[in-house]
Amino acid sequence: MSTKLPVTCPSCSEKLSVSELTCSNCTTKVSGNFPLPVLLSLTEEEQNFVLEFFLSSGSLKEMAQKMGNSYPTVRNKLDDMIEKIKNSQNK
Amino acid sequence: MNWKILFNPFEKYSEKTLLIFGIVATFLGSFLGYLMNARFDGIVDMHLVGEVQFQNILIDNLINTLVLFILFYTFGKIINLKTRAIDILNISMICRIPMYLVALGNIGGYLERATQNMMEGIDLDNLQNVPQFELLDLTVILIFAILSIGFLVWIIVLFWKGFKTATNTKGIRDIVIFIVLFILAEILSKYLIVTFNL
Repeated sequence: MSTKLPVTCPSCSEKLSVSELTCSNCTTKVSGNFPLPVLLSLTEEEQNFVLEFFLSSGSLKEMAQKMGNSYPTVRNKLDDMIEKIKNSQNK
Repeated sequence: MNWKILFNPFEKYSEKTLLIFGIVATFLGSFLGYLMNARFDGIVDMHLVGEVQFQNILIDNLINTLVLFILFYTFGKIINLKTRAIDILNISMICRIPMYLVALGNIGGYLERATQNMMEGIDLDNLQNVPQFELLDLTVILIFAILSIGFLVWIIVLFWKGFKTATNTKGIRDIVIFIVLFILAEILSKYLIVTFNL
């Protein structure tokens, strides 16, 4: 079962940060207060979209072909994500 | 049945596919008008006339498409600078397909005859006389009128969904401007066709 990384607090909806990291090899633990990467504020589907966009060398036309959607549909999706990230950064 | 193809093909199909489809539809629609004795004298107008030349119908449709394109491309650019001309052109051509289908209502020339019969049933010299209508004529015209309203709604939905896809517009303000521009496009196209193509 794949688990989903929570990015907002289930209690107050504020952004979460990382307080502990563990080495999977030797189990060393590092504690601190590390902010989560901004891309994690996107949904899993949106993150996959960003990854595909990166793998397509940033070509929206290629993305549209891969996704079976029109160019403006894919461009709108990207624009909405940019807006979402900008809003997330401004918070 | 995939309803998205009927109401928002702009979301899925590439601009090249839509452009070819739009051009073919404009020519076929004009030819259909020629066969059915129909003029498209406005973006959401279809009138049956006695005799008609193919080139006049084609010019009607070119004017309608161009008026829609110019008005909505300008509006689209104001909303979103990334709006592309080809997307608005495709929408302007494809959204009018239901209008061409309305002309099919005159298959066999019955609708034209029913309209003429009804006009003859009205005593123009004395409008106080009760008009004499055949029940069949009245039924045909009523069914046609109801279907036409449905097709009009289809055109508006197609155009709005396409415009929304092309410009990524959101919000009530843009919907209001869209409606005003659509009415303006109807008035302008009607004026241009009546002035230059009758």
